[in-house]
Amino acid sequence: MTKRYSSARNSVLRRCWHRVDFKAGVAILTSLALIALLSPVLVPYPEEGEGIVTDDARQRGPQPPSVRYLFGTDVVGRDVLSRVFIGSRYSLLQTTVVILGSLVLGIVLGILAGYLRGVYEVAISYAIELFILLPPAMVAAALSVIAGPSLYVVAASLIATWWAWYARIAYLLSRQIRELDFIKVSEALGFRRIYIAFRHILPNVAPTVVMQSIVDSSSILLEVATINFLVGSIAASLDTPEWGIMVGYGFRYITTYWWMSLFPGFFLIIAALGFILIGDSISEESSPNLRRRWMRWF
Amino acid sequence: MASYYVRRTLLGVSLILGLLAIIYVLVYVAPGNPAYVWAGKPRGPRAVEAIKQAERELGLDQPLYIQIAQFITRFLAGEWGVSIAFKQPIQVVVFRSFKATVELLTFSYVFAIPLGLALGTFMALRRGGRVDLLLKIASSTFISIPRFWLALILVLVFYLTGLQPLGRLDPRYSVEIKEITGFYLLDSLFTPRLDIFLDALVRLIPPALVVAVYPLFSIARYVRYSLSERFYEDYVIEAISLGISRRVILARYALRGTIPAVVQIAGMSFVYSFVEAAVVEIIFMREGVGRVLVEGLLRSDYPLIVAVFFVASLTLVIVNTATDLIQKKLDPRVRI
Repeated sequence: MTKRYSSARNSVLRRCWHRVDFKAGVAILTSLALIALLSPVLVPYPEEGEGIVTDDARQRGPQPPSVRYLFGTDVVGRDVLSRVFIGSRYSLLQTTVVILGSLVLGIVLGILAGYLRGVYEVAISYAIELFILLPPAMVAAALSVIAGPSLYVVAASLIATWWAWYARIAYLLSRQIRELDFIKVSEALGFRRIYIAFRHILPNVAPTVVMQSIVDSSSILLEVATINFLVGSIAASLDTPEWGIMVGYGFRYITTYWWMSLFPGFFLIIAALGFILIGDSISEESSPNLRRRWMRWF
Repeated sequence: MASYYVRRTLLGVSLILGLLAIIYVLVYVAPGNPAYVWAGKPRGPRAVEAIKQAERELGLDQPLYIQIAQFITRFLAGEWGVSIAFKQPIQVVVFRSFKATVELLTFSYVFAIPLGLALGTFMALRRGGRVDLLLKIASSTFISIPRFWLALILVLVFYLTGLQPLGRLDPRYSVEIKEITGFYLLDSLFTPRLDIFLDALVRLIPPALVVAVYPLFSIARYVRYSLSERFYEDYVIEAISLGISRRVILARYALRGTIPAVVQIAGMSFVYSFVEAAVVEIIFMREGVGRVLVEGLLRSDYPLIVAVFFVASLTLVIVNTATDLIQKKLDPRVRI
C-alpha cells in the first residue's frame, strides 16, 4: 500500500480550473497543439512548409505579406505561414521531448541519490551539482562541432543540463521521505530497496517535480529557441522549419525581408505566454498564503 | 566539523576540476577521431601535421585518467593553445570577449535590479487591483518575448529610422581608445575622452535594454510574490497592531526578508544571461562572447569553444559559491 503524505496537489489543479489566466493558457496551448496536429492539411503549401523549394516558390521569390501569402514568402519564395504552422510541430515536440527526458532522468537519479545513501548518494549528488553548472548553449556549441548541428543535438544538450534541476528537487524530497514511518515499515518487512524506491518514494516525489517542470516549461521553450537561433543563424545547412531556426534564418535578411523573422517570433511569444500563464497559476494556487485575498492587512 | 565556508569553497574547487573532466570526456567520446576534432577538422596539405600536433596536445597514447589529469594540469597552468579562428592565443581572445560581455551584462543589471525591486514592491502593495493585474500581464508578456527576437526588432526599427547604433564603438574610435581595463566605458573616462564615452554609451544602451528585460521582470515577479506572502506573516500583523507605520514595516522588515533571495536570483540569472547577452551581441554586431562563439562554430575551432565553455561555467561556479556564502552571512540558518 502506498501512502501519499500530500494530497493537496489534486486540489491545486482543481482550483486552477476556476482561474481566468489558467484557462487562457490552456486555450492557447490547445489551439497551438491543434495547429501542430492539423498543420499538414491546414496549410496551403505543405511541401514548402517542410522545406522543399518547389518550382512555384522559386518563381514567386520573396514577397511581403499579402492576402494570398498572409505572412509573406521567404527568400527562396516559400510560404512563411506554412512554415510557421508546420514548424509548431518541431518546436512543441522538441520542448516536450526536453521536458520529458529531463524529468525521467532527473526523477530516477534524484530518487536513487536520496534513497540509496552511501557512495551512490555522494556520487549522484556531486553529479547533480556539476551538471547544473553546464550552460546548455555551450554544451550545444561543443556538441555541434563534434556531431554537426541538428535539433537532436540541441535537445540532447538541454536534457544533459536540465535534468539536474529536477534531480536536485527529487533528491531533497526523497531524503525527507526516507525518514518517514511507512518507509521504515517496508524496510523492516524486508522488501527490496529498489522496489521501495519506485513503489513508495516515486509516487510522493513525482507530482512536485512534474509541477515544477510545468512551471519551467516556458523557460525551456525559450532556451531551446535561443539555442536553435544561435545554431540556425550560423549553420545555413540547418533548414528545419523550427521557430527559433526560422528567426535565425531571417536574421540575415532582417532589413529587407523582415517578415521572415517577425512571424515565427510571434508564435514563440504566444506559446511561451501560454506556458507562463499555466505555470503562474499553479505556483500561486499552491501557496496557501496568497490565496487568502480577502485579508487585506497591508 | 569544518565550517560551512570551508566546505562550500572546497565543493566549488572540486566542481571546477569536474568541469574540466567533463569537457575532456566530451571530446574523447566524440565519434571519429578526437584529434581530428581538436585540430578543427583540418583539410588540405597541412592537415596531417595539425592532427599530429593535436594528438600530442591531447596525449592520446596514455590511459584515459592520465589524459584527463594532463588536460586539467595544462588547462590550469594556462596553456590553452592558439585559436584557429582568430590566430591568437586563446586566453587573449576569450578574456577580451568576456570583458565586453561583462560590460554589457553589468550595465543592464545596474538598471534591472533596482527597477525590478521597485516594480515588484509597487505591484505587491497593489496586489489584486487593476494596476497590479495590468502590470502582471505586461511582465508575463515581456518574459515570454525571446530576447533575440526583441533585439532583431530593435535593429529593424533602428534601420527604418536611419539610426545605426550597432557595434561596440565607432570604427574611428576603436583605433584611438587606449585599453586599460578593457571596459570601454571606464577606459574612455580614464583617458579622459568624453566623446568616446558617449559613443560607447549610446551603443551600449539598446542591447543592454534587451538583456535587462528578463532580470527586471523576473525580479519584479519574485518580489511581488514573496512580499505578498510576507504581508500575511504574523510579525507584520503584529507590527501593524503596534502602530508602526506601513512605510517602516515595508522598508525595515518585509523587504529586508526578500533581499537574500533576490541576491541569489540576480546572481544566478547574471551568469545564465551570458548566453542571452552573447546572442544579443551577435544581433547588434558587437564584439564579445557571441562573436567568438560564431567564429568558433564556423571554423570548428573546438579548443576555443571549450575555453569559452570553461570560462562561462567557471563564472557560474564562482558566482554560485559567492552567493551561497553571502546568503549564509545574511541568513545563518542556511546549511549544505
